[in-house]
Amino acid sequence: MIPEDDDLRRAEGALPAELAAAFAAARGARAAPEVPPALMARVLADAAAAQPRALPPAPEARKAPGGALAAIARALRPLAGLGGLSTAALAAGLWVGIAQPGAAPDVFALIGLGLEPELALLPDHGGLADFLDPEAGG
Amino acid sequence: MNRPLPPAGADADAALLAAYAAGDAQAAATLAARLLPRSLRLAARLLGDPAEAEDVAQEAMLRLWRAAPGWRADGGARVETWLHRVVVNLATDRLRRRGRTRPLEDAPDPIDPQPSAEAGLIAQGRAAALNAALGRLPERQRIAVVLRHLEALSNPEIAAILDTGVEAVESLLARARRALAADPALRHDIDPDSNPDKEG
Repeated sequence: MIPEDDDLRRAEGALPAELAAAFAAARGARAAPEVPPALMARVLADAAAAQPRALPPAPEARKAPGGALAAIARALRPLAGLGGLSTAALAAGLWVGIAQPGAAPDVFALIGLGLEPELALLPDHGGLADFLDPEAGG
Repeated sequence: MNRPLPPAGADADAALLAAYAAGDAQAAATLAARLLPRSLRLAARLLGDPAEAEDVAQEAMLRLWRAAPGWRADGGARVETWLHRVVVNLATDRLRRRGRTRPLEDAPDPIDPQPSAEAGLIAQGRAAALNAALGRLPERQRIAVVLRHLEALSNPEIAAILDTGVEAVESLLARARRALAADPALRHDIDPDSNPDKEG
């Protein structure tokens, strides 16, 4: 039977006898309901799936294999990405330097000076020309 | 590991829940054995459908498992009261969804005891009449009656489950008792010799 408290007995004592009897009969029914085994199995499966697991030890708490050199290598591991980045940057710069700007316009012609680029870029400064070509200066 | 079963009570349930949250698998089995039967019975009484009652009881227990890591033993809530509240809320949602199309009086009652043929008939008649009368009560009155008179919970426990005050529970119960006492189906069934036509 489902346990009754004094307050409940008093409350039902004030009810019509037939209604109080109906309540008492209803409490007697299903007082100890049987749980279907399949339901209990589902509930326990849910419990197992939802149960918090013990956390694995933190990485720093685990013993580091390989001694001091391995520890240094692990400490520098994040820089490995930077090494890859610098290699990529060097390759890109080299390509920019080698690639021919084939469609580059002649800026001297465009501004109407008609100068040869060589002359403009290497003007005749006498001594320098003699140094480069002694016969011409002689 | 064989865990000695702690005595029933709020502290024992909270301790088991804490043990479950700490990884004790056996604690879940012990808690389920203690809490699932009553949750299932309450759901069946509210819903009148064994299959739906199983679904609600399972869902309520799942919510308990999920609440375990954050459960505060000193938070004031008893585990069983909390679980009953979840069962009531889930059952109420289902009843509203189906629009009470399946009245309580249609519910089978497969685990009733059968002391004798005559007594069994009387008990079945009473149960059917009571279920029919309960089905005509407003929702909260019906829940209050089920919790108080069928589950024998105290008024403060019912107040916690319904998220209301004790006075409001007493008011719900008083109105429900008056309605049940006046319900013709219930009076006719319980007193078969009486003539309802003569009753005022």
